[in-house]
Amino acid sequence: MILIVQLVILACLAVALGLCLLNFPYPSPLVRALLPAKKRWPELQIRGWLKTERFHPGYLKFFYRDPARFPAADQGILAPADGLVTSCDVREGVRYMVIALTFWDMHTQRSPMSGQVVSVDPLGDAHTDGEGRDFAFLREKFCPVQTRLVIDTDSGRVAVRLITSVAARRIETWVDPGETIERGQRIGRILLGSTVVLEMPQDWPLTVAVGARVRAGETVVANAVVAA
Amino acid sequence: MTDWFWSHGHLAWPLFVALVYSGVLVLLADYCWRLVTLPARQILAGVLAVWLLGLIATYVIWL
Repeated sequence: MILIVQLVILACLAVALGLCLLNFPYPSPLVRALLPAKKRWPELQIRGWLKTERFHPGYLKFFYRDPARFPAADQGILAPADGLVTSCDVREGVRYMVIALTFWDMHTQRSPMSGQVVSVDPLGDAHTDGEGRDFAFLREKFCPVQTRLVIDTDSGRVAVRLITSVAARRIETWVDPGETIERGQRIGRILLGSTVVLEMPQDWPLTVAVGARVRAGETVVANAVVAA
Repeated sequence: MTDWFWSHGHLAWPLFVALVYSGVLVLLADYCWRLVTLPARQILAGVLAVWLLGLIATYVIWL
């Protein structure tokens, strides 16, 4: 009897070690649940899945998470996406706030303000890959795959660009032109994409700086100034 | 000497403890390696030291 118990314990241990070895250098299923998201699915592993398109179901479930968000009570402009603000440059009177998303960020985008959707335009469908930085998203012919949503608000017009790479190439939008949307409402999702750009008038004062981490539908990134 | 490997129809406890201890330590080391940012060489040295200490402790307790 003791021998059987001993052998069962050793067999369990052998299975655990085998799983560890089989999955190395990535985490085995036994420790995955105990690790933070970034360590659970390392970047190299996710990039490998992008090539094979065979994603781990657990990762996809994590990726498609869509938690409730509670917008700040004031009327500030909300971040349209979770991520890191990498640029707030101005070009021709428009401020482009670039928010970079990682593989572990929540990928559902939300409306920065209440208003009416003017247009939902898919742009740059079959051109070069890119991360949407350095204004690559503005190039007419060589831009990454993107969809631009224009929203008419009481304070003026804003736009949200959902940008992905050629590798991922999928953007879902959940609003249509003419539709009235609420501040913080879900507007779409980039599938395995990388960048969201918020376009707004340059005179609207920012409340976050480059390098800040923002949360879609919660973080106020700027205050709208109503034109006199 | 047989007592160390086989005793009363089952694996001797020192051997069993050493096997389980070694296996669990490898699993723990794998987990720690993923969480901490220390160089792999330092982690390996630490794990080896703990492993040897554990084996020595098992031996001492068994004696």
